[in-house]
Amino acid sequence: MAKKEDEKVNIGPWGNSLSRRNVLIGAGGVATLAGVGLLASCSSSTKTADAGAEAKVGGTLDGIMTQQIPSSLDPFTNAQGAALNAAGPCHDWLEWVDTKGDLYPSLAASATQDDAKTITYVLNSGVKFQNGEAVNAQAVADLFAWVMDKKNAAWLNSRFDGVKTEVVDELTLKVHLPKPDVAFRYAVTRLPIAAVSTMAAQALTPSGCGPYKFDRWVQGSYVSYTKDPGYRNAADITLDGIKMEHFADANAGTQAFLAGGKNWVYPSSLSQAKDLKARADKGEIKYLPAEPGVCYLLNNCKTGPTADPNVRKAIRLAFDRKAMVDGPFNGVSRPFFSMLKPESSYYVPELEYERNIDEAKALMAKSKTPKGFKEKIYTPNVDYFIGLSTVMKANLAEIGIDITVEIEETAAVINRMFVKKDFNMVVLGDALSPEVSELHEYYLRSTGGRNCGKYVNKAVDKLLDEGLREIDDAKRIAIYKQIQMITMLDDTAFIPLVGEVLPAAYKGSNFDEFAGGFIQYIIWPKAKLTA
Amino acid sequence: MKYYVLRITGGLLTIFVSSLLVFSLIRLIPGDPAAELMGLAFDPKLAHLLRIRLGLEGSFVQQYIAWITAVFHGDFGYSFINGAPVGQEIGDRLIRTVQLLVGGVIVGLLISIPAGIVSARNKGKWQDGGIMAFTTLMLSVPQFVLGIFLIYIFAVRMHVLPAGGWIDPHDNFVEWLKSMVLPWLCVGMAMSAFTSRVLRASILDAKNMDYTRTARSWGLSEKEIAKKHVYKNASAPTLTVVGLEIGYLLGGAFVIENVFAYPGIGQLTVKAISQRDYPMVQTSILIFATGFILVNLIVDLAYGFIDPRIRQR
Repeated sequence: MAKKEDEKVNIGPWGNSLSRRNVLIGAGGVATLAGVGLLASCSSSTKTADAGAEAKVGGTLDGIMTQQIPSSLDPFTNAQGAALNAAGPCHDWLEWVDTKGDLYPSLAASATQDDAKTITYVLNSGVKFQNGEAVNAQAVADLFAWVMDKKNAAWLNSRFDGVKTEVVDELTLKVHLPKPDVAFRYAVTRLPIAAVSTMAAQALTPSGCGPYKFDRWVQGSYVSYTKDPGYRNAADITLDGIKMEHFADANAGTQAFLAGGKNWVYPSSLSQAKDLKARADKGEIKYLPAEPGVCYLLNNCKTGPTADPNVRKAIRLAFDRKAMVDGPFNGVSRPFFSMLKPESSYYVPELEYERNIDEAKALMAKSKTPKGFKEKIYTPNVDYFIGLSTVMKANLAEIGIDITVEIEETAAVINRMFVKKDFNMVVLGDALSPEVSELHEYYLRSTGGRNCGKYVNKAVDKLLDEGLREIDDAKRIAIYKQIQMITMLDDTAFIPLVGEVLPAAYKGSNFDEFAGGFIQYIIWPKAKLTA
Repeated sequence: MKYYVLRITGGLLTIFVSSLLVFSLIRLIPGDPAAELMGLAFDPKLAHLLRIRLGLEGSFVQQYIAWITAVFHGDFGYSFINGAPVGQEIGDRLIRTVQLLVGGVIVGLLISIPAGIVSARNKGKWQDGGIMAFTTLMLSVPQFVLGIFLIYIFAVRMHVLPAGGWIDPHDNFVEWLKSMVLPWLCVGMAMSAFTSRVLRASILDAKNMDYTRTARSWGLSEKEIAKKHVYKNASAPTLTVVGLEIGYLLGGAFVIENVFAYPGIGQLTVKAISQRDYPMVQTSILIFATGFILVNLIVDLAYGFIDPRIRQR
């Protein structure tokens, strides 16, 4: 029997308790789990307007998405969050993950981790794709095969390497992993379930089995959806449709929201944060300082002056994170010392430290470049990254490091990091994950997909392997504590700076649970206008 | 006739050189379409397969010949990002940008022609001072600031016009018209500043020319002199400036389109450049270049028509 979707799923041999600890057994998901921290970080101002307002039946939820204008609505081959943001309403997933890392059943009535290498999904019966095909075990197996076929260039491909599927019956699918990987289920939460026959057309006319059917996309302007009467829980959907308008400029988008007629704007302008907060305090709107990511400085750990751990430690101690919060983020962010949100049970408070210029200078004196050096920080042409680099330049000047802020297009920075691998220092942001292993695997494993800093530490690799195998929460927490102490403090392989805050503002709708970014898919089936 | 043939040949040659330049430049700037598509999920093996699929593995010359040949056959290729036919997407966007610019230019002319004439006729008086102050302000304020200011006044404060976004005129013509007012005003106000100054200067110049003095000595009224001699002669340099302004507006449409969330070709091009969507960039910039050259060609030809001496040079 299908479980209610607001129940957490029983994950099998690790206990029948439905707590996050028992559920959170793996690493994974993929990086643009943007917005995963929002639920936890909703400010008190969110309790003002619309609190307790009744849901209105019908109507179109009309919102503004700023900055990222999608060029494609295909979340299978396009890794950019904009594609999934814009296509989200028409999709559904086997399971959902919330900001705390809890997994919820969705298309899968149940999901059981039989062991660290085997997962069994049992699907809800009678579900159909929007093109009329049945959503069954074979359809999901076909989709997995499509992702694994390299010629399709699905961006989740590497996460599915060596996976085998076994169709047990019409609704039961067993997934066999090539090695212990308790995080795989989180990776699957990134894969919308769609019919393979629709894949070629997803970029322009997305189609899945979600609550809304794609209606129209005027590129650069808006994408709209209408309620799908064939959705498996159609009776729960109160809206007639959803419309997302795209504004490249966050200031203009925020003004358009304030002008009226729009239910939400995400992300709202950081430069208007104080005004928006004041309006929220007056009850005119709600304001959610979503913290979907972390901004970081990545150093080249193999060559150049930053190959010296003393230099990297000196750099992290020199940073004034408060200035980074107050300047580029207009006071709405907070300092970060880890790849995890402080609310995570895997967070290690011992990672936090005060700015210490004297110690930083002493470390520089012990380094191979005691007189300092000249270096460039490659910086994407995004306002807050430029602001962060400017603060870093001032901070590092105090310990003899003469920084040039080299501003490049984001595409050029990514090319420099991943293709040319030509940098010593780069500032960037990545999405926070509710799953501890995700970013640690990417950035700190010697073969990690985002380890552009070429950090190699065999002890850390071994600990990461253990983390993927370990199913006991307490032991796993201890493993990741060791990893974090080595990589964030001793080796300083990765320097977290501040939370990458993208605030949402809304009114006339029930967006209290809006999390921004990828995880916002949770909201679409629940989205309502308030009376 | 030789004048027209030379102008048209020059225009075609410039379009060809532009195509070569844009094809080279987009490949010279750092960035990789495959890396852009995959973002932080970059995988070298998949990136290689993607590059093959996108036709990026051949030599520069092979790629250029393949592209330009296809363009001559009316095939502009497909977007790297979403697989949509480039010609169709650019066509849709171009129509919208033309709607934006034509409306904006009309507003600009409606402001600048009276402003230039009033200013010239009242040189040194308060009307002249006021108009000059307005044009100085318009020249100093960046268009995106002007756009945000207009949104704040008319949408946020007064709630009389939409703040941005695009409405299909086929769905609701009145709403479309309302949604176009602020972008048109923004384009028009920015354009009117320079044009009205040039018109004012041209009128004042023409007023002091020998032919004006001669006309005056014949006893013609000031109204007749202005109508037959001053305005006609002042229109030639103004027309040149309007032509150039339209060209620059085409190139700068991105700013207005961004502020008003208007899905035009400028927005598309900048987005395509940032995503290294080569077919989209190549075609849209070729369209920009062709548009700019065409507008100026028309102005050159019109200039020759207004002033026969030009044709004889």
